[in-house]
Amino acid sequence: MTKRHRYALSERRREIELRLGESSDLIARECRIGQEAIPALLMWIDNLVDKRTLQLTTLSPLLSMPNLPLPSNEPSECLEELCRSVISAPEATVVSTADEAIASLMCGWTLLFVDGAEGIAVIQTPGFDSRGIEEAPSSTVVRGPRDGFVESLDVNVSLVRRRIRSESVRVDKLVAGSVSHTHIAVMYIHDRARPEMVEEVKSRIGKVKLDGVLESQYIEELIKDSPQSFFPTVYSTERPDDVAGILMEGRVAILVDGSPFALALPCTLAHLLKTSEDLYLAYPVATFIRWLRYVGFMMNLLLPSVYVGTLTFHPEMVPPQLLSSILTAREGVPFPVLLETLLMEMTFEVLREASVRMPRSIGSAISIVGALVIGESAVQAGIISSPAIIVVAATAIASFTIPSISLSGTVRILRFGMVLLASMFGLYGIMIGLFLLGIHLTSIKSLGMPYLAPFAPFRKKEFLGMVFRIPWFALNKNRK
Amino acid sequence: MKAVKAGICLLAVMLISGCWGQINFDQLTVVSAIGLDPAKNNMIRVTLQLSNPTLPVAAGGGSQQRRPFVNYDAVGVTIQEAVERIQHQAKKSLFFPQTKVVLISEQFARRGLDDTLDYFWRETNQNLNSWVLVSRMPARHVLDKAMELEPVPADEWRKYLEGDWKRPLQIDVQMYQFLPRLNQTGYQAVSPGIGPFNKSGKSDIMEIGDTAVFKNDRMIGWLSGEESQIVNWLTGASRHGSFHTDLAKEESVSFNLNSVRAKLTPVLSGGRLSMQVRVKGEAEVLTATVPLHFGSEHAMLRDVLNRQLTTAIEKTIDKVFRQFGSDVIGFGETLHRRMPAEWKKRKPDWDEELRGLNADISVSFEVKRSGLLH
Amino acid sequence: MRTLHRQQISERQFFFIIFVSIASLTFFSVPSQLIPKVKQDLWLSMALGAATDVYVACLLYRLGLKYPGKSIVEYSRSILGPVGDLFSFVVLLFFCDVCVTAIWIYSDLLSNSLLPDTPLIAFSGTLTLCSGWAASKGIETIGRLSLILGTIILISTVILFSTSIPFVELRHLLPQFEDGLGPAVGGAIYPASWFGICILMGMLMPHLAHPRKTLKVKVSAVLLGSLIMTGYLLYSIAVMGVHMASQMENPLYVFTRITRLVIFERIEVLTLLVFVSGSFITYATLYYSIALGCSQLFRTKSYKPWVYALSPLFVVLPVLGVTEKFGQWPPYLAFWFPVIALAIEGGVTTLLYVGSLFRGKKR
Repeated sequence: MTKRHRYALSERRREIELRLGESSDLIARECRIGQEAIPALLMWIDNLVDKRTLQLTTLSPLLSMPNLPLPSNEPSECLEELCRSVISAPEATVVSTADEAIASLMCGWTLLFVDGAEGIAVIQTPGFDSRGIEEAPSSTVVRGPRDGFVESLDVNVSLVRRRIRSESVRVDKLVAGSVSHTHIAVMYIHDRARPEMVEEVKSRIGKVKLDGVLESQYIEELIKDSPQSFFPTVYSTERPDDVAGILMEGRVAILVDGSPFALALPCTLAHLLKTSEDLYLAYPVATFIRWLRYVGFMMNLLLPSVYVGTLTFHPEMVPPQLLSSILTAREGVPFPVLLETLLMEMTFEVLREASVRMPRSIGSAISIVGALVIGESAVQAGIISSPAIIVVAATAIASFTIPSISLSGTVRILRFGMVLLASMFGLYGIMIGLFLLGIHLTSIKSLGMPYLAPFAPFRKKEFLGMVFRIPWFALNKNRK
Repeated sequence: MKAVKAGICLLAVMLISGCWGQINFDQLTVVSAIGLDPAKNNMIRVTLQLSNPTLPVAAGGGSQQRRPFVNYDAVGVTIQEAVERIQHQAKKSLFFPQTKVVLISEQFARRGLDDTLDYFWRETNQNLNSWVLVSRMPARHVLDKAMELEPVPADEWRKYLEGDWKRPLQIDVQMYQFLPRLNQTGYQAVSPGIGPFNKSGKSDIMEIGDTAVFKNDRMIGWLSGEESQIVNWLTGASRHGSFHTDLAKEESVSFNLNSVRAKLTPVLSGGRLSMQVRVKGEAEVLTATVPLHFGSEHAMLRDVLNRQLTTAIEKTIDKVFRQFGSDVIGFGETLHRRMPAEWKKRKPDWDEELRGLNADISVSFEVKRSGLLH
Repeated sequence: MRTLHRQQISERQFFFIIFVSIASLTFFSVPSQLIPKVKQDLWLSMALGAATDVYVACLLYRLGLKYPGKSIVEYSRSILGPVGDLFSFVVLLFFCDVCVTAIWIYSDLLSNSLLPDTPLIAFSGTLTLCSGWAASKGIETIGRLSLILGTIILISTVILFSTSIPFVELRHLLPQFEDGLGPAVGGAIYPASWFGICILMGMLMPHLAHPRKTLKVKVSAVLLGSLIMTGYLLYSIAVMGVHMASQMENPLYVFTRITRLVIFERIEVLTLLVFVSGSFITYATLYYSIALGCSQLFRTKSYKPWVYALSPLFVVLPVLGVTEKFGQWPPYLAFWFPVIALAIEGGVTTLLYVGSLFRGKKR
């Protein structure tokens, strides 16, 4: 019969093998099913399937039917019946094209060919090893849950789902990356997130035309609102409780397979300066810490430039005793104030970058070297003055108070710009810098929400919520 | 778009390469005191006291091998010229905005300050909060010789003049208050004086006491401590004081005066102007060289105090108005405030008015406490 | 009607735009004119100036309600035809003149006090850059920035006033009206002319979300602004005395030099910077209005090209030697500027209003 030849097993096997370039981890297993001993072919990629699942759910049932009649005589129907009644894997469907089949094959699914059947059965048997759930290294808390996202998309979605057990939680799956075919899940709560926002997010992800999406940062830069801006308009976090909170606020979360960092839109400056830990601490403490963070943010941006600007243009503003101390400390230092500050800043940035890659065993030794040798000895030798070291150290410490890594990075870069402006025009230059920054910040939006909300388009309640951490008993009254 | 970017880059390069207006911070030297002396041919000798920055002792700035301050002086027609000459000597960038004290020597003040002090008005770098002192000796000597606890004497003077603790016998005035009063007929300038503690002029320790009285821009005399105290009360600058009364020969009682309020009222009767002075306050006994029975002698003490105070105030007003002819009490301004039309009329001949002014003084102090705790 | 994408600003933002404009415009030029001539009675001049501005605001409010969604350039055309175009042109030219004068005053002050060696063109250049960029981003951006800056101005004023209390001698304020009411009333032209620049409300009204509330917001902003500036002026007289205050070029600046903030001594730099940032907002708004007005007058599609076109004008004009000589000619600021300003602000608006009444009747 012609059908048999067109869908002959050997040809289909050949087709798949050619498409995959005869990869050595493509396994093909032939078997015979049922009483009629119909030839069938199973194909899978060796390292992507869970062999135990495969054996239990697919091979075993199939091979234990030698005495049973086949469900039907028609091969396609037979295939479908097999999927429905015999194969006990959680998911088993029949697809009609080789492309779809190969896509599933790449995800760890097993293909089942029956001689003469047009369709191909795909059976879910993936079994990647995944990292166990442990504390997110980038955001540690004193009080609060300690589970963090891992690299597997399914596990991540489950971590969020188990926190919000509502039927309104929606998970929409998309695929991005023409080579990597990475799975992306867009999560939102149906009646809280605005439908336009969700549609916008999905369409932006759909427009991503990359070869591979290996980390969420790849798509972050492509879906954010003002791509040329330094400032992050997409929020990223490694904590599922954070994402759960975000969903309940009515925002949209994006989870990317292969990355433990989830993205969230829309995102304003206020969101970047908040942490979920605020809600786990008592409200006076949380309010105080929040203010510390704001102060730290401003200090990080402005401290070196204020130092340079005041000393080189307006030394009369410094109280006389302090001026006298600084003058003494700077005696013998060969560098002018600007150069000294820039030098120390660059040194510190280099140290910071180096410490990321240091093996843990010598990490502490290097930091001692950095602090003592460079700092102390430089001062003693009269190369750098101690006020400069104090300024740079204070700035560096302040930079760690910013919870968001991307924002912290932005401020680090802007700091240098401010120092240059301060050296040209003094405090007036700082003012110009702040003004330009202000113009930029007030004009960018994140998914339609102005970046400086709730401060710039002033909304009183939200503004109060940003400044003070409103205690739960006050919030409780307002919730329906 | 490309042209705009290129333009911005060019601008940035131009801006970065020339940082105008930057002060060379390391060459800054703080001028802590300015001294003004007269010189020949109507010129001025300016002395600048430059302080060497020293770490505070707590920070381990213990062993100082160098002098804490240096004085430079030069002569010029105006202060500006002299300062420029000093710049050549000092070879450093002079930092004026934190000047602490301006010393005017008595000779210079008596010669007439004229418009030399105009320099402090116009030069934006000058510190309008610096304290003004008139020195009995030439300012150069005072700046050279003065020895104080602080390494730089000007710092010590400034702390003293700034301090809030009670210095009832002391008037203090800052540059921004001193300068306009040089030209104000209704409220003339005064300034505390500084001079060697020992009247013979040989001592190194400087005393800030007495007050120099100015008429227009010329100094005309000194007021003693007690007189300055009274002037302080009448201008409302001070609410405290101390007073010494003599009961009889070798018997005296001193009082501590608090909440002193003086009210000057101009009274116009038939075209003649007279001044009404009302002084009120509380007194407590500080020391007494005679045993006092507070209960019974209360009234007597009060009367003695009031009488002797009235005499003292009369004498002071007499000295100021008639002998000096200068309105340092600010009566003219009081008239200006209450009766502007009258003031306009009398202003041109205010000196004459002062000489013929009748003062009606009434003092009423209450003796509240005996100073002993029972 | 051409549909420009209308950007909306809220009442709060409008309030702060007007408030910041009044405060910063007054800071730079009014004290040197007002204090020597009027002395202690200047609060009356300020009050009269505010009243004049309220009058102009009422007129513009009525006009704006009558022609909703249209700016002053647009409805003057419909009221008076081609003559209206001429009026709009005059108003726009006046705005340009204000900009150039103000930039010159501001560069001069900054150059003399803050950064002595910097060439004036650096100031006008940076100012035009910042304000022009803000203007090209639109009135929404300017509104949001003015919120932030207005709050900063308010907070710094409160801090300054409270820390200066020990230096104040209220007696200096005393003989009030010693020369009669004349000087105070005559002196009212200075604040009135600078306040009246708020006729750029006529350009901004179409952008407001709730036009009906405009008058209330504008009046309260003008009152708050003039109140605070009167406070500053009176404080400087109270601290320095009238004689000294009259002789300084910018008494407010010297006043902040004398007072102390905790341990920091010469904080005049900070005050100056706060007001300079306020003036950035003012110029941005003026710039935006001029560009928008020009685009409406000459019927171009968007206002952005005008922003770019006008920028060399604002960078170069204030620093030319000609302008400097002109500006330093005393009668310019003392007489001609206030008179011309009042004529345009009061005169043009009154004429437009009267014209609109006639128009209304005809229909």
